[in-house]
Amino acid sequence: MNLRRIVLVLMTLLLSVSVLWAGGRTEAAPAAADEDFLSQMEAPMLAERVSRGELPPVEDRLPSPDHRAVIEPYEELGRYGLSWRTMYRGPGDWPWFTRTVGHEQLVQWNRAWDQLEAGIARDWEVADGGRTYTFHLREGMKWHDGADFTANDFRFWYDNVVTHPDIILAWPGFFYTDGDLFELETPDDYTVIFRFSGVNAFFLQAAASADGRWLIPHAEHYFSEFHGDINSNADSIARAAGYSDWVEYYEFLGDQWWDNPDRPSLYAWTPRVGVGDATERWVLDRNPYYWKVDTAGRQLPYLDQVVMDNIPDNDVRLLRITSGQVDLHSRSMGGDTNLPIYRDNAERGNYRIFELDRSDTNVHAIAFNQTVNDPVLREIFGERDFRVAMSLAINRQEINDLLYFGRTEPHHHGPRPEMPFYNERLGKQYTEYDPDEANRLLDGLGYTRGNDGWRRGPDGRTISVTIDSHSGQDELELVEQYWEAVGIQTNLNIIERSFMTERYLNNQHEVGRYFGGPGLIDWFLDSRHEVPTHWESIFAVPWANYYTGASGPSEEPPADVREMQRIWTEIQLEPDLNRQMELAGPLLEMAADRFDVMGLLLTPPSYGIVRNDFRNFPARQFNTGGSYNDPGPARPEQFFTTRPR
Amino acid sequence: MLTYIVRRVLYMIPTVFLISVVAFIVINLPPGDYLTSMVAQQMEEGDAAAAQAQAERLRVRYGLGEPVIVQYWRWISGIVLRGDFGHSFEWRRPVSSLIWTRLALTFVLSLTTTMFIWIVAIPIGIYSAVKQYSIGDYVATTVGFIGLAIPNFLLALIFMYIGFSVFGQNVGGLYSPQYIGEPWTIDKILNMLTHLWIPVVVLGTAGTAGLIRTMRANLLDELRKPYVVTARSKGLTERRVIMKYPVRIAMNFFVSAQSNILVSLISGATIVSVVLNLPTTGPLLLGALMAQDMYLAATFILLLSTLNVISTLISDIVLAWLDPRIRYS
Repeated sequence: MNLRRIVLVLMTLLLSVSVLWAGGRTEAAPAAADEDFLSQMEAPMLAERVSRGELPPVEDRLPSPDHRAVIEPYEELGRYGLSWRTMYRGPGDWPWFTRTVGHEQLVQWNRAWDQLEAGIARDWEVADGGRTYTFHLREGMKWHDGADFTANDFRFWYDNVVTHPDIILAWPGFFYTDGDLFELETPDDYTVIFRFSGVNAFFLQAAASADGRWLIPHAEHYFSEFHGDINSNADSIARAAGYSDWVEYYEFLGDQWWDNPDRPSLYAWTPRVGVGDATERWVLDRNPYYWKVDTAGRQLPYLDQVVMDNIPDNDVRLLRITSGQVDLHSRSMGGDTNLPIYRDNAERGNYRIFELDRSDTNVHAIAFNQTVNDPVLREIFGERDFRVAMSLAINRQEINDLLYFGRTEPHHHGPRPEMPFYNERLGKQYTEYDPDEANRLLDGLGYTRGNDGWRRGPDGRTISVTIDSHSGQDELELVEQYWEAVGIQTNLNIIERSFMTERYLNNQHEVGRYFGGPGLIDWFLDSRHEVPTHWESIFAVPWANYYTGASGPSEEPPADVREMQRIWTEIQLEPDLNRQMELAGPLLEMAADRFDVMGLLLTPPSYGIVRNDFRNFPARQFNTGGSYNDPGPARPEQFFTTRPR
Repeated sequence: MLTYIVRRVLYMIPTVFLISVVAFIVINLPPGDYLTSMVAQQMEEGDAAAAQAQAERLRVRYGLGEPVIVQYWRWISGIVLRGDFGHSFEWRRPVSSLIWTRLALTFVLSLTTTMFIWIVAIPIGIYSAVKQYSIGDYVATTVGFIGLAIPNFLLALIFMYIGFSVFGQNVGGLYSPQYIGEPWTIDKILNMLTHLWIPVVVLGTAGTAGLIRTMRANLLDELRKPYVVTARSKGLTERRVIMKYPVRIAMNFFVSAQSNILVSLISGATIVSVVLNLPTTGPLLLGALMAQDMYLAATFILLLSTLNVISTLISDIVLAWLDPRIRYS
C-alpha cells in the first residue's frame, strides 16, 4: 500500500515536471524580432564596440573597397549573431578545425570543386611552365589583431622561419621540387612570388588543400618577439612559459593555429584559448578585421561564434545531434549503422540529413602481390586470367545488399564515373558475378582441382592465399567464401594497422587490401592502384620503389608498367588540367589492360546533418581526405541561423 | 604509533619507485611511439612525407629513439629534481599544465562519491544486519544486488537517455555550458554541485551495494558473539548494545576496504567520465594511452598510484587508531 503511494507520487511529479518543461519550451520561442537587419553593415556586437571607441569603424577595418573579397550567399543575405554549434573529439581531431574554421588559403576551391577562386590572395599568375607563382595580396587587409597583413610578413616568415636551420615545422612536400626549397621574392608590399627550381604543377591545388595553411605566413609584429635571432630576451620568455629554449617555444607558437590563441589570424573566427586548454568546450569568436563581405557589402561572418563541444563518446554525440543541439556536423557520424537513428529523429531534432559525395572510388581495393617472394605464387599472381577469375568469383551485389543496404554498385578503383576522364572498362570490367567463367579460366590455366576440392598450382601443391588487412573483416569474410567456392584456399589475416603497413612496406604480404584510392580531381595526386608510384601500391611495392627511389625492396617493372610510370611523370609536370586529363586517357586504358587491382563496390556517399534553421548551406558537397575539406568550400563565413535570438 | 607511521611512509618510497618503473615500461611496450601514430594520422589527412620528416627530427629532439632506460631516467630525474613531468605530445604543452585541475576535480568527485556511499551504505548495512530477513533487508539486498550488477556506464547511458527522451535535454558535464572555461566563482561551484549528483549516484551505486553487503555480513558475525548476549543480559538498551561494540568492530573491515574503494572509483570512473563527458583524469589518461602520449600517461599512472599508496597509508593509520590490536602487533 505504502509503496504504491510512493510510486504514484513519483510518477505524478515526473509527469508534471515534463509537462512544465514542454510548456516552457513552446513559450520560449518568440517570433523573430522584425528589425531591419539588412541595414546592418557589421555585427551589432562590433558596432557597439565601435561606438564605445574600442574598435575603428568597419570601413577602416576592411581592406580598401576594391580589394575586399565578395562572397555570394548561397540562399540569401544573412542576419548577424548567434553561433555554429558543433563537436570534436579532443585535440587530436584537428582536421575538423581546418575544415570548419581554418579554411582560408591563398587560393580556394569553389563549391563544385572544379575551379580555383581567389582567397587570401586577390589574384595570381603562373609562369615558366609551373615554376613561378605570383600572388597579389589585398591592400588594407589586416590580421585579426588589427595589424596590417602585407608581403613583409611573408618576408619575415621565409627569412627567419622557413629557412631557419633549427626550427622544425612540418613544411609540406609542395614547398620543394626535387628536394629544393622555393625562393621567395617580395617586390612590393602586396606582391609575393614563389620561385621553384623545377616544375611544381600541383602547387595551386596543394595550396587550396588543408595543407595550404602552411602558406599563411607568420605575422612579423607578433612572432619577432619570440624569435631568438631578433629578440635577445626570447630565451627567457620561453623559459618563463615552461619551455627549454626559444626554438622549442617558437615551434609551439608557430606550429598550429588551434594551439595558440594569440597568433595573428586571418580566419573568420579565432579561438579564445588553445584547444588544449579547453577541456569541455572550445569557443571561437568573430574576427573584427575579417576581410570578406557579402554581395551587399556587409562584413562577414554572419555568426558571432563557433562553439565546439569536446565529446569523445560516439553515443553521446549521437544523442547531441538527435536532440537538436548541433547546427551542422559531418565528421565521425557513426557510418551506415547510425543512419536510421538519425533519420528517425530528424523531425524532433529539427535537422535534415545531407549526403556528401565521396572522392574515393572504392570501399576496398584488393590486390594480388605480383612481386611476392614465393616464386610459385608470383607465377600464379602474374597470370592475368587468374586475377580475372578471382574477380568474377566475387558476388559483389550480395555484399552490397548484405552490408551496404544496397546503397551502391559493383565497381573497381580509378576515376569515378562523374569525372570526364572516367574509363568505364577499368571501372566495370569483370565486376559481374560469374563463377562458371571463373572456374573455366582457372581450369584453362591448368590449376585442376584435387580430391579435396582445392586447386593445385604449377608445383602440384594446393594454392593457398592469405589476405592481410586491418579492417573490412565483414566484406573480406564473404570474399574468402567466394574464392574458396572456386577452389582457391583463402586465409584472412586481420592485423593491427601499423603492423600491416610494416608488412606492405617490406613486401611480405600475398594479398593486400587498402582503401579504394581517390577518384575525383584528386586522382591526379595519387593513382596508387593504377600505376605503381606510391609506397602503398600494394600490388607491387618494389615496382613503386623502383620509380620513387624510396628505400625498401626494389625491382624493375615490366616494360608496359615503365611506360605507365613515364606517362605519370609527364602528368605530374603538366600544369594544365585539361592536358592532364588527355594524358590520363591512354594511361587508364593500359591499367584496364593489365587489371592489376580489383575493387568491390563504388564508395557510397557519406552524410552529415544540418539544422533546418541553419541557412546558406549548399546542397551538394564532397567528402574527401585533405583536398576538398567539407564544409570549408561551402564558405562557413556566410552561414547564419534563424534560431530565436 | 609514530614509529608505525614512519615505517609505513618509508615502505612507500620503494613501492612508488617500482610502480613508476613498471608504468613506464608497460607504456613503452607497444611497437612505435606517439610520433608513429601522429604520422599514421597525417597520412590520411595530408602530406605524409612532411609529417615523416618532422617526426624524425622530433624523435631526435625528444630522444624517443633512445633506450627505454635512458628515457625513463630523463623523465624521473626531471620530476624529482625539477618538478618537471615532461611534455605531452598530443596536447603540445607541459604535462604539469594539464593534470592539476583534472586531478582536483577527480578528487572532489571521488571524495563526494565516497561520502555518498558511506552515508547511504552504513545505516542500511546496520539496519539489514539487525533486522535480518525482514522486508527491509530483502529490499535493501535486492536493490544492492541490482546496483552491483548494472555496469556504471550503462547506468550513465540510462540516465542520459531518460534526460533526452523525457526532458529533451542532456545530462553530462560537471557544470552548465555558460560556466565552461570561466574562472572559478561561488556561482560556478554551486552550479557544479547541482550537476555533481548524477555522476555521484552513477559511480556510487556499485560501491554502495558492495559496502551494504560487507557491513551486513561483518555485523552479523559480531552480533552472534557472546559479549553481545552478555551486554544485552545486563540490561543495556538495544541501541547501545549494537552501536557501542559490534558496529565499531565491524567498521574495521570497512576502513581497511577504503583504500580499494578509492582505486575502484578512479579506475571505474574512466568509462563513466567518457560517457558523461566529465573533465576528470580518466578520459585524458585513456586518450594518452591510445595515442602513446607516454609522458602524460606515465605521469598520470604515477600520480594515481601515489594517491592509492597514500590512501592505503591513511586507512592503515585509521585502522591502527581504531583497533589497538593492530597498533601493538
